[in-house]
Amino acid sequence: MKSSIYTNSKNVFIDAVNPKDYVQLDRVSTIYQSLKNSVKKPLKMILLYGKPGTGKSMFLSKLHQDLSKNQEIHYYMTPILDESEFYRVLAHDLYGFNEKKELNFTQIMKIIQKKESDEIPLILLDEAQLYSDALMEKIRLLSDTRKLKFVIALHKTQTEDLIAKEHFQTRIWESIELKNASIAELKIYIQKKLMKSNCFDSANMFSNKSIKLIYKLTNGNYRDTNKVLYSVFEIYEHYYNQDMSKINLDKISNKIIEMAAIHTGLIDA
Amino acid sequence: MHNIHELEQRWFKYKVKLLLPYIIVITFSIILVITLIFITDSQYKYNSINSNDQDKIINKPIADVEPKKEIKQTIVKKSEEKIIVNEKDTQAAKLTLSPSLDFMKKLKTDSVNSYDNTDVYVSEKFIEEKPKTTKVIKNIKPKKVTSKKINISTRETQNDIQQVIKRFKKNNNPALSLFVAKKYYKLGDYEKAYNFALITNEINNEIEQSWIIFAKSLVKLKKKDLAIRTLTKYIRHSHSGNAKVLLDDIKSGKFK
Repeated sequence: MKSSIYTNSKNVFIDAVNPKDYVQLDRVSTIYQSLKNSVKKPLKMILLYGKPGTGKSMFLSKLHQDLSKNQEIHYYMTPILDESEFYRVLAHDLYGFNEKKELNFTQIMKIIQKKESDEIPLILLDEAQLYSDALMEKIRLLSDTRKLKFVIALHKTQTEDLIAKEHFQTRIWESIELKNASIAELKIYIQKKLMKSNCFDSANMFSNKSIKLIYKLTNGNYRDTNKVLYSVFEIYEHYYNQDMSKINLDKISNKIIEMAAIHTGLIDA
Repeated sequence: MHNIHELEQRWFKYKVKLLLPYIIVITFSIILVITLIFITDSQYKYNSINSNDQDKIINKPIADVEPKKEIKQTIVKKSEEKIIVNEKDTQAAKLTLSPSLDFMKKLKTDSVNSYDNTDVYVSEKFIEEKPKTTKVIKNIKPKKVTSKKINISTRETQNDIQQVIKRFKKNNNPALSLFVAKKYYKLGDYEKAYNFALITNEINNEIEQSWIIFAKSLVKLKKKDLAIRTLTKYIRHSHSGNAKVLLDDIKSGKFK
């Protein structure tokens, strides 16, 4: 049933961070390998930065999935903005500290320094731009103990660049930038993503022209691409059920791509 | 689920908005091209009309170009002089008839020769400035008005002639002007016959009948010598049998 193909294709592009959906692209794989190598080095902090939608969360998620089998790794997708809560969560996750009382920085430092272990736990902090400067400074001090290793992912904006350059300038030994996809990468990304979910017919519907248009609209941003394509297949699903004469089943129509872009706000119409 | 209808409308508006500058530019370019073509075409036509006018002016006999110098002279004198001048000209160039000035003026005032607008202007001016010559022409006119008995038929013929003149003004066909010359000759209006023979000759100087009507009209206007000279010259040029017969008739007095 073609309709279910469109439904399946639509679901492929649901914007959710799932390491299973990770699509291997040459450049992305190289960066990912570089990140994995950096983690093995005796570094205190690794900075992962890039514009929103370039795959930072997916990287952390994938890293967590891949490394969790062999080493202690903790992934915090949502920032813990309260300082005491942050310490308490760390103490609980790293050292099994179960007390519900509040912890301050001195106390967490004591707990960490008491802990003797050959393996240094890896802490992945996503959306780190949301942490306060004070907490970030504490995180830096925690990393200085060399009892913890942090991978911090943050958005690349002018202000956040300042954080990266000034606040952590002396602590970050490795910084990795994630960028939007090129046209060729975007085509591979879309087709691999669809084929991974056995949506071969949908994958074959994308011509170079339609990929070019998607790239023009999304600038190669993975999140925007997912949003547009989810909407594209939603429109196809609608037309398929309501008025099949309006769609070409063999080729993705530019009109529908533009309609999807209007719907998702990428085109201001 | 999307509101597809609304989304389609928004997409349509977006496309129109997107393509509007191109549509405007293309439309403007098309209008510009059409305007340029129109202007170029008009200029071409204007230039070609001007060049035709210039040709006409160049082809006009000397009498047409310089009328004022000899206005004070009598019609007879002028016509003689002009024909003499014309004789001189024709020795150097091709053989064409030259009108006598007074006939040309008469022709203009009668609007017979008004196939060229500039001629009409000149004739009006001429009438205003020199009423005396107009009088002289008017004095000659009674010749063509014969008797009241033939008035009815003459009017019909005149109407026919006017129709032909109108047609001639439109297309400048020498066959028409020759027809008019013959008609006037038949009606006894030898001045007009002379003038239309002259106009025919101006357009095409190879038409034998225009020379013959011209010579006959001169004889009728008591210009026998001029007629003989003109015919002699024409015969020398064309070896026309009819012209020779007419010349002999004029000389022998058979044709008066």
